[in-house]
Amino acid sequence: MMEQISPRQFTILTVLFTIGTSLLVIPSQLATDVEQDTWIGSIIACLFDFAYLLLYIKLLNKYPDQSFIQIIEAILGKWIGKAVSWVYIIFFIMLTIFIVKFLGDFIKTMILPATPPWFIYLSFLLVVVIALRYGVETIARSAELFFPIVIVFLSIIMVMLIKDSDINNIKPVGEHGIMAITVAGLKMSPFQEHICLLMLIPFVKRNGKYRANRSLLVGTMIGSIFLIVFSLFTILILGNYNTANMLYPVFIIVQKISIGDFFQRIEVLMIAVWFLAVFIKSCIIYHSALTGISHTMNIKDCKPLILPLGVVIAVFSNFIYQNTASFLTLSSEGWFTFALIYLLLIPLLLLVIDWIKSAMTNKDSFNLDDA
Amino acid sequence: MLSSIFVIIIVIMIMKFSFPTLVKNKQYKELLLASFFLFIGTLMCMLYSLKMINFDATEWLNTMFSPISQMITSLYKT
Repeated sequence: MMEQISPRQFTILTVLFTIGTSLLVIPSQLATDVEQDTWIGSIIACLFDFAYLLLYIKLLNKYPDQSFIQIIEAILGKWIGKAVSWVYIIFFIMLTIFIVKFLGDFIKTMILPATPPWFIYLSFLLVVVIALRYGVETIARSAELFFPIVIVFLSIIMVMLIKDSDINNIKPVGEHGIMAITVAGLKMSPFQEHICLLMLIPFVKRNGKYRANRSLLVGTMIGSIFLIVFSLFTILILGNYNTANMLYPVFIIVQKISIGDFFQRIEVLMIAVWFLAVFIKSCIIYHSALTGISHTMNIKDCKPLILPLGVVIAVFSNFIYQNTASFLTLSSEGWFTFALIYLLLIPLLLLVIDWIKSAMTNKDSFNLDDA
Repeated sequence: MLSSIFVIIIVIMIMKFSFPTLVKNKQYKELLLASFFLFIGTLMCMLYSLKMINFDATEWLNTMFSPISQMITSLYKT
């Protein structure tokens, strides 16, 4: 029997996926471009994400209960569809490698500077591989278990951050102009690769009229709220200069929390939350790559491929990029265009091709009726 | 070097325990794909350990895509 997850679990997976790596990357990248207007930029980035989601939902409405790879093959036909599917599978594998590498760099820089990075990659991947061998149902249930912890910890942190905030740090509001802020938001929007969540759609249990679309929207909205609030806090506490020049500004603001000189060093809570979110995100993307391979190659059981693909990811994590500086250069320059091809351009093309195909089919049937 | 020894041990373990089951169940497609992934993994691991590759995906992606990103960014500056 096929594994199934409830719409509620899918919403939770979407929230954790949205928080994922973006929580640490977005504030510093936005602050480089629009300084004190980072918080407006993050709102715009989230709005763009919703625009991409609406595009995906359009596709899902036409092809309900199908994964993105299945939709591609349904629209583009067998051979072109398979070629495009492989392009996406490589993208998913590459994303997993980037996430594992980013997590390893974070742990090495902030927590375990003397530990060899390959050991961090292997340990993290081992947990992901075990989770994937248990299946998507288990991952969803663990996300359900983690979710209250994540929400409670993030809420506690947010309340504690209020004390250190200085409202003058966000003034003057909108100094860079709406166009600059919009472009900065657009550049940050491809950091939430929600297209991977479309690979989970066949697993989402139908509950009456309930569709996975609502889970996608609600989950993204909750995750986006956390991203916007944390972007605002980084500027309110650190100011634009420090936020732009720090690698992980959200981690630093949490490190600064001190209540009555006895309640300190609660960045551990932040690390716990972030690890849980990144774990879920990497599980989903890794799973997307595996599901993609099994759909494209007509494989019934993709479990034998989990560990071999894990070896490839672990090895490539060692040298996919040299250091965090080169990753930051990529995230502020090339990543936007590269990711937009997968997140916007190809889905948009699919929608247009599907629209043309259905228009032509309607015309043919109309002509036949006339005859 | 230690990492490549670790990877090779994992690869041998997979081949020892997973491959016979795949052959027994006649899952040849899975066997082929798994072998391909293990081959790529081991090869890249060896090349990396011997310092024979100097691959940086960020550099490659930046060279390919940053001109378009810069063009879009410059739209609001002009």
